[in-house]
Order: sequence, then C-alpha cells, then structure tokens
Amino acid sequence: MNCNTCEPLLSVYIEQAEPGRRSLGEGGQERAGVEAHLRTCGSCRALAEDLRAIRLAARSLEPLVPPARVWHRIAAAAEAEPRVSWLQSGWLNWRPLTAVAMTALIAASLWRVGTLLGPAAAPPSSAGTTVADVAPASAGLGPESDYTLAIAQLEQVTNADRDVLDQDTAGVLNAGLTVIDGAISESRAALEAEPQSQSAQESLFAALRRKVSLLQDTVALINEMRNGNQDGSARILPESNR
Amino acid sequence: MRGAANPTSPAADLELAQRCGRGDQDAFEQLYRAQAGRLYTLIVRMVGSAETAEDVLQEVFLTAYRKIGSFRGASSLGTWMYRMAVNHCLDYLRGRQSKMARTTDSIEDDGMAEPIAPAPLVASTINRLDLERAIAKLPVGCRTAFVLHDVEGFEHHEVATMLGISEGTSKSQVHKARVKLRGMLSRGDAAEEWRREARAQAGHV
Repeated sequence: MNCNTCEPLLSVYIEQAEPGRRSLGEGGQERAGVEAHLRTCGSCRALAEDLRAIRLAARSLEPLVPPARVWHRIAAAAEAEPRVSWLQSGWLNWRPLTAVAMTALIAASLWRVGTLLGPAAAPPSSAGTTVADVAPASAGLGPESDYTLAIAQLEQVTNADRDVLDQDTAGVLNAGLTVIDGAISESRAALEAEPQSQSAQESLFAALRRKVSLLQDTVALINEMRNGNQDGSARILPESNR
Repeated sequence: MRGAANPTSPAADLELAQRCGRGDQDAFEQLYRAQAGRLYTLIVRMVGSAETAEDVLQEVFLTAYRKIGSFRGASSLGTWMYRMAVNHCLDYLRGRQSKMARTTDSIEDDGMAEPIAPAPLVASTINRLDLERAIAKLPVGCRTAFVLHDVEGFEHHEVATMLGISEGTSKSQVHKARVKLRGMLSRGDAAEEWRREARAQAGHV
C-alpha cells in the first residue's frame, strides 16, 4: 500500500478504531494494510491524526441558539395561516342572511381591500411573510396553495347553498368578492411583472387572506343567523374588522 | 447527538400535537421552545448560513403547523420534526444548486481528489469558531454528509438514507469533507476570513 491507496481509507480506518466500534470484518486485510503503511509513513500518520482531531472537534461543537425574532416571525405567520379544518366539523347550517348584515360584513372587508390597493399601503410586515412562504419546500403546500384550497372549499359551500341567500344579500356578496378578486388579479399581475417583489407577494397574500376571511365570516354569520342567534351574529360582525 | 431531542413520552407528544392541531398557540410555542434550538443548530450547519437558517427554520415550523394533524406518534415529535428539517435543508440546497447549476457541488460524490494540506494541522488547536466557518465553506455534498455523520452522530447507512445516496458515497463524502477541513484549518482560511470580516465591520462602525 502506498500513500495514494492509503489516503482514501483513512477516514473509515479512524472511525473503526474508535472504542465501541465493530472491527473491519471483511475489511480486516485493508486495515492491516493501512496500519502497516502508517508505521512507515509520517505524512499519512499526520493526516490520520488530523482527521481524527477534526472528527472529535466536530462532535464537541456547541449548540446554537436561534435569535428571538425567529419565534416572533413564526408566530405571526402561523397566526395568518388559513385554517379550514372547521369546514369538516359539520356545523355548517345554512339560513338566508339579511342583506343588511351582509352589507356591513362586506363593507368591512372592502375597506381592508381598499387599504391593500392603496399606493402607500404597507405590506403586513409584522406577519413576517417571506419569499420562502411563496416557494415552500416540497414537504408541504405553500401559503398560496393553502389559501386557494381554503377559498375553493368555502366557495363550494357558498355556491351549493347560494339559493338560500336572498337576492340582495347575494348581490352584495358578489360585489364584495368582485372587488377582492380584482385585488388578487392586480397583485398576481404585479408579481408576474416583478417575481422578486416582496411587496407584490405580500399584497397577494393579504388579498387572499381577505377573501378567505370574508368567506369564513360570511359562513359563520349565516350559521348564527340560521340558528336564530342574533347575539352570535353581532359578535361575528365586529370580528370582521380585526 | 444523533438528532435526539430531550426525551418526551409518546402520550405527551400526541397531546402536544393535538393541541397544536387545534390552533393552540401556547402549545405551538411550547413545541418551538422544545425543538427550535436543536433544529436551528442542524440547519445552520447544513445550509452554511445563519441568515438562511432562520428562513428554513420558519418554513419547518410552518410546515409542522400545517401538517401536525397527520402526526400519529409513530416516532417522537422531535424525530418527526428533525426529519422535516433535514428535508427542508435538502430542498433548499437542491433549489439553490439548480439555480447555480453547479454540477460539482452535488450531494453525489464528485470524485474529485483534495490536494494534501500544505502543513500538518496541530490537532489540539482546532478553534471551534474556525471549524464552524470552515464547515460553512464546504461544498454542499460533503458538508451535508459531514454534518449528519460527524456533528450529529448518525451512522453512514442512516446518512445514506437521509440524503438518498449510497453508503459508500456517504463515506467518501465525509472523508472528502474532513480532508478539505484540514486544508482550510491548516491554511488558516477560516481565521483569515474572520479577521477580514471583523476589519470590515470595524470600518463600518
């Protein structure tokens, strides 16, 4: 064995020489060859010692601590995550909603959309939305996919029971959704023009969030009213201004 | 280390997961406090950047938040999240790799030999900060194998499974990483870079 054939075997050699490790077994001959070469070659001996030292130093590296801001970003982003599991909970129960209540609800959402469309509207930086949210790892759906899924499910519910809404209420709802859809389209167009624009990405998320929020609030309000629970309806209306 | 978290009981893990699944923010924070340090440590070393690690860690926890309903307790919650973190690191590194089209920076063995270090390393003087910096400068393929094997303590067959490579490739990548680290540490690359950065920062103050 010479230096060229010994060098690639040194890492495995030092691992197997550690206490508690099993012997080379079928590689025993190789190990004997390495040991014989090391007895005569100072250069390879020094290399083996250094590789062993690096392995030991790597094992003793200290744990690192994430900055406090990371939790704040995660908590804010989690707060903004759409949660649709309640859709499967079976409590949905439709009843026509009065146009007055729906108008109040949609007006609140439209005001928020208006602030998003304004030129000086700042992105919701406190939510901590990042580019990473737009292109998530393959392990999970990204926020946009989640919003789209939530919207699709909510729309499925509303479309299936659209006939229980009175004409005025349905009209107001459609008008509100049209405005929000406009905001979504504008954000998507801006993002297409400038794919790296964080502001466009955040505007898109915000508009999608508003659509989910409007549909969720609508469903909740309809449910409360159908059950004749005026107090519940009253509670939901202020929540739409969150 | 072997990716182990502080031991928790399966029942406690399931209960915490269920609370998180119900949207309980306190439970989610409890999960974060229990796992974030260990995962952040892994991610920083895998991706080679503390700044990027913050984003990847955020993705890991948000993915966990979305998927925690699928946690059934087959493994510990810590192991479940650890695997997720490794996968997110690999996704990030592969994404970056495809953007840069750096074929020599592959998780597969590139077969390139490392020149022997110019001077022997004095084993007892390896500075941990220098080592951290040198690890960050390793090519992706050998860095991920080295971190999982030498820092995190996994066996080669486990590293091979996690990285989707053969056990032989894991061994050769870890060896390549050690030899490269020896070269960087003996030349003082990491220390010199640190001094340059320190001088640059001092110049901005």
